[in-house]
Amino acid sequence: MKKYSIMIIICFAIITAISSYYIQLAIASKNAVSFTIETTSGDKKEIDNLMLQASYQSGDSHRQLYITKDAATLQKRRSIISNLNTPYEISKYQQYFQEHRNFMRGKYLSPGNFFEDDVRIIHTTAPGNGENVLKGNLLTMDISILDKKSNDSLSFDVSTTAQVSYNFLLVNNVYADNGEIKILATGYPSNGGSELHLYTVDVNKKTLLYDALLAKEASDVDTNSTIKTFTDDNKYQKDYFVYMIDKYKRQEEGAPKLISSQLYLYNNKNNENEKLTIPEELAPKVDSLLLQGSEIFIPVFSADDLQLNRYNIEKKQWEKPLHIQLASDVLNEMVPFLQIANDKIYISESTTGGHLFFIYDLRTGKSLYEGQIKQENGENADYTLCIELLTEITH
Amino acid sequence: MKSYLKLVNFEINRFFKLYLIIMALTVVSQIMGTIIVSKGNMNYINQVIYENQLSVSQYIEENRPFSFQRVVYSEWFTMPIFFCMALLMIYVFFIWYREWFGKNTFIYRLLMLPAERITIYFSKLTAIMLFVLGLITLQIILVPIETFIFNRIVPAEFRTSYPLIDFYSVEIWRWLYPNTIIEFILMYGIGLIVVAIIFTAILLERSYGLKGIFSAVAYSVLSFGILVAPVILSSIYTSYFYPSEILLMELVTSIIVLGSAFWIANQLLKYKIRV
Repeated sequence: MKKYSIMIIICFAIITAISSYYIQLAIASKNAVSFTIETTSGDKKEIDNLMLQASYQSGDSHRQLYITKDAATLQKRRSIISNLNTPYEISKYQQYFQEHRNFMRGKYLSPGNFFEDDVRIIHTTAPGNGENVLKGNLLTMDISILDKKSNDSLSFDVSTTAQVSYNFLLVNNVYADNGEIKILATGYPSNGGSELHLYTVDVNKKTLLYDALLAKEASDVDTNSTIKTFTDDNKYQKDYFVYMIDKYKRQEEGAPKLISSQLYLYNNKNNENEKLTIPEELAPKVDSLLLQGSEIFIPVFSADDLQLNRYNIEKKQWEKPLHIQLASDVLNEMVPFLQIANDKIYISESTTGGHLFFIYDLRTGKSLYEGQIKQENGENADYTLCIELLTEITH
Repeated sequence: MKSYLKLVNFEINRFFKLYLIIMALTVVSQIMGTIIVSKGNMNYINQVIYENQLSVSQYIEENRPFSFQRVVYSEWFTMPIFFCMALLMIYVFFIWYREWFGKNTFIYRLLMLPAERITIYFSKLTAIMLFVLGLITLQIILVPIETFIFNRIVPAEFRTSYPLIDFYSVEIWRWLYPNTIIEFILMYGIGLIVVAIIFTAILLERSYGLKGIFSAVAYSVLSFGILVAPVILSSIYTSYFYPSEILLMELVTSIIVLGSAFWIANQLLKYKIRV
């Protein structure tokens, strides 16, 4: 026994240290920073299925947190193997993965790449995001269609000859109707700038019908332009999309000066592309535009008020803005988090008194819920919490 | 079993002095690093306070407190880890070649032992794993000591806590101490397979001479290829395979590679090894 003493000591030290390390880590994970949403007023059920994705910073500690009503704060695990699991566990595609496991293989997980209606799910992508497609070569789009009732799927690809060389190409929006699929995609030519294309695909013939160039960033010695697209990422059936072309004049010193900004509204149902006129006072805030179903929202924060301007696409008119009283003075504090989904307005304000969370009815502006995001556990009392995204979870 | 334990103990004793030196170097470097980094930061703070005629509370209002992260991110902390890794990697080769190239060809005596020859292989493999895990253990023991030293040097008002969970922001820490014990076993299991492949490749070279070098290279490339095939497949067909499928494929390929490494090594040691 004595002659094995070194080996025994090493083995004992290894087992003791490693097991106590992992016990300590498990305890640390349980007691790690966690937040809960404490109801102040309104219906508690409003937050039953909500998950707030937040960025937490305290001293040198920076973490991604997922806050739910029952303090089940999930930490984004920084590990090699669990990284494989995380995107699937807490993503908005969880239901797709559960119900259509085979169809979801190899799919690019971005809301813009999916379309869903009562009978089918469609996914389109440019393989490898269309990376390094040279001028004259084929630019391909992979299309997969799943019949939700029979669970049968169909995959095919369509191609067009690239008119310029692309660094990459990203699909922004997919729409399907009357045997056609419309794919909105932004191409990034290798000589700079970007192009907005609308590809129309005939599903029955499995061919590309049109490749319409909707917009192109132009640049010369004095001016340049930028394109920005706005889509409704809350749902997979998007009848409309909006894009904006901003033109800038280069300045000898300082940032380029905006000389014109034009919004376009594209209606997938009837292929209408119309210029959208924005009231002059909203023009500077147009960057924060939100598209929800058949409505366009432009939020404007003033000192202690949120003015939610809305445009009804079907009625083609700007409606009376909704005013929501804020708890804190925005000009002195951080700009509140705002998200519109499920006909509700979700607001989170970071105030000196703590982090407040509100839910309002999108139609009436009536308060549905009011709560406070409170820290349950945490090593440091001094921290900043920044809400980044709100998602619905399916248990 | 008895001869296996005897051989493991023998291998540990042979390397133990050098192993203690590596451990001592790690301890000295990391503790010195903790003192230097902590004192360096405190000197800077004192200089700022002195030059700007600030009170401590004024300084704290304007500047963020710092944590043990400064030590963890410094070369003093990471360099000894890389040094130990490099040394153990060299020893993976040395543990076999020393039997042939020492003063006496010790391999004679080892092969003549009244035990299965594959026991030599297993004992060397076990010894390497114990050395690796021993250094992993040392690091676990060192961190609380270094944190204690850091806290003694940096006054509470200038520092903030740095919980264990935040160590995972450091890349090397994520590799050395995977997030869960299961991941730890998986990660070091792969490490064990890699060492087994190298051992078998060495035995191929020792068995067939010059021809053996080529077969060792070919065997290593093939084994590594099979071992990483699931990972390569999943990166070519992005998102095609589900995580559980990748893990299952990896498990199957690991069993194939490890099993074949043991089988080839056994055959070589039994029938082909040249002294």
